[in-house]
Amino acid sequence: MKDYKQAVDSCIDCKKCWDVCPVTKVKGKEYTPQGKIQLLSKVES
Amino acid sequence: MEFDNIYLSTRCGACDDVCPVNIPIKDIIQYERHLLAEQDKEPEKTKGIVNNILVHNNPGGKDNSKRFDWITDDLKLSDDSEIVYMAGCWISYAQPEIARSTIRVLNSAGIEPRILNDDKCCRIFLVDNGHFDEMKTHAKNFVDYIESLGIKKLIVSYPGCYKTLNGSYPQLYRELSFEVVPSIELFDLLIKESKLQTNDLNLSVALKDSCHLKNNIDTPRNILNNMGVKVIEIFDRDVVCCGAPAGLKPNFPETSSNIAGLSLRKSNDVSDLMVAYCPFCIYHMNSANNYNLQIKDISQLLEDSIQKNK
Repeated sequence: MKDYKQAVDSCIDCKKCWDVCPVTKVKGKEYTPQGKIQLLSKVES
Repeated sequence: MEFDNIYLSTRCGACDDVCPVNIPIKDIIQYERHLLAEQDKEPEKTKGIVNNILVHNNPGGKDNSKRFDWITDDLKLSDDSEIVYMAGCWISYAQPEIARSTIRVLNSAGIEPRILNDDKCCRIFLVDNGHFDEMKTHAKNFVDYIESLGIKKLIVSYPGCYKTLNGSYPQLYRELSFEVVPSIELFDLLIKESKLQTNDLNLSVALKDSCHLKNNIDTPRNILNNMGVKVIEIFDRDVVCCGAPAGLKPNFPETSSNIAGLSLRKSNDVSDLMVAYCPFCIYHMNSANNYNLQIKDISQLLEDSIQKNK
């Protein structure tokens, strides 16, 4: 098991990843890299 | 579906590049996919492609006996060279012209590579989807096989093969005893060493860069400039993903095509020819191309340049 919880929690909500993600560019802010990593706790549970 | 967002990613790494606190976003997505695979929650199409790779050694489930059908009589190949050419699955089955141009260019420089008789998919799709255990076994078997042939240099056309062999295999198994070289890097070197004689093509082209070689975007520009091809920047030297990799195209085709449209639209605005150096980008761009835009691999232009005036 890898422990990425601390890394996910270190997100400062700057939204820079939103601006460069090609998926976010075409699908909007429901599908951001930030949103993807924040699903980790749900996947692990 | 609940976890669609995790599969709505090409793992291009653009997010990693801008994160101010260095969160390994691409790795976390890979890990989430690993856990979902263990929980049998992968999308059906991802499962199917993984199965194709494990059973048939290529993502499309194609007949392995046809992997080398791209080889034509005019190509000079060796049986025992220390330099090997690995065309990759997409080229072998769908884009044979890229492999042929690559070999003809290498032949022009006096290089006659061998091929791997037991060639296999690099399995980047398994890496992208967190199938670590299957990858560890494959990396060991494939590396041991290549090394048993005494190979010193392995040339690849697909940047994804480069990234997987050069980056993932050493992490999953051990350092390689052979060098993995993207074909464009070798082309650039051969031009600089005057082993390739190019002629001006007098073209202006839109250049689509490759995510897997984003740290080396000057190389394709050097090659194109050398053969009298003016590069028109479509993203001001930023690298924008084509939208195909890591399962996005099969699982979410409309989103994948819309992402391709970002590059196609910009290219069509400035030229009638897009040049790329990732065969998977080219395959995907062609499938989403609603313009009269021609799309070529850099090896094809280089072959044209060498053959011109002959």
